[in-house]
Amino acid sequence: MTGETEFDARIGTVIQDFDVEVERGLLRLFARAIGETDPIFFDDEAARKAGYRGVVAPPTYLYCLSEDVPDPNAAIHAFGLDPADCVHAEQEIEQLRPICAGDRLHGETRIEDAFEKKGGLLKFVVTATRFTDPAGMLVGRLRTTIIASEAD
Amino acid sequence: MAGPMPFETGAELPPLEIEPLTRTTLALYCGASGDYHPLHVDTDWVKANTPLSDVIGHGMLTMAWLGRLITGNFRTEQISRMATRFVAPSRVGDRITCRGVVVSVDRTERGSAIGFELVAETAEGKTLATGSATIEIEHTTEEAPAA
Repeated sequence: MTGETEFDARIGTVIQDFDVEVERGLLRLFARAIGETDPIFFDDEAARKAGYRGVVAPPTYLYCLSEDVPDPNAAIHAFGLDPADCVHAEQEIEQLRPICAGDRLHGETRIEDAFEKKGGLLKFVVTATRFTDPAGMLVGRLRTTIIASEAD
Repeated sequence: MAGPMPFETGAELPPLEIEPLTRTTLALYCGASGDYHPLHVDTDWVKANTPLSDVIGHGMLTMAWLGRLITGNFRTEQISRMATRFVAPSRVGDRITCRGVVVSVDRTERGSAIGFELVAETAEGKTLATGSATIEIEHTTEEAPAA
């Protein structure tokens, strides 16, 4: 159990620092799973004709890249919480340029905010992830809000 | 100066109707997203370990459908921001519709930023997720080539 007064002590801590490659096969499977039918999400040639470098990642795929780490629940564990008590409450995604098959990205996730409500019964953990390309340019950002409820 | 505004507040995107949710779709999404928590795919586990009687869909799958509502009408790089609040989980058999309405139109240096309010709801009228998206439209070049 984390004490109320020290619950926000981890704000700013980096909890993930990782490299990911955007894989063509997984992009195709993802597009199929979510029901996309546009060939830019399946075929390099179609994507290039449409002005992209290759098979395109649907807009929410960036979130999956942030989960491609040894411990996707690192934020929850950092606070000593049980993933079974947690829900993914809110998600924000910003993308500065298209993400395509073959891209190599660097991700860094830090604790952006942490606070309690209802006398500690509800705990909010907000993480922020930045993705950069090999040149160090920012390509996208995620903001994830997790709520842990002791009442569960 | 930028050209005329292509959208007006209150304009609606054509609603996107999702095929009734199947276990196959949830299994596919588990593999594709990397989120293979048994809560989304293993009914036996759900019955043994939760108060629920069946699997529930991924919140991020609902958000992906809201993304499809946008990619069906704009190029992916025009989506500068998407945000979603997960209200209720989807269930197998749900017939889900995604809707988007223009709530703001702002001029930017290169064109317009269109703000949408988004909602995913079941045929019974249950809201699964609410959200917003910002679409950047350049007025000078019709279809800017991707980076």
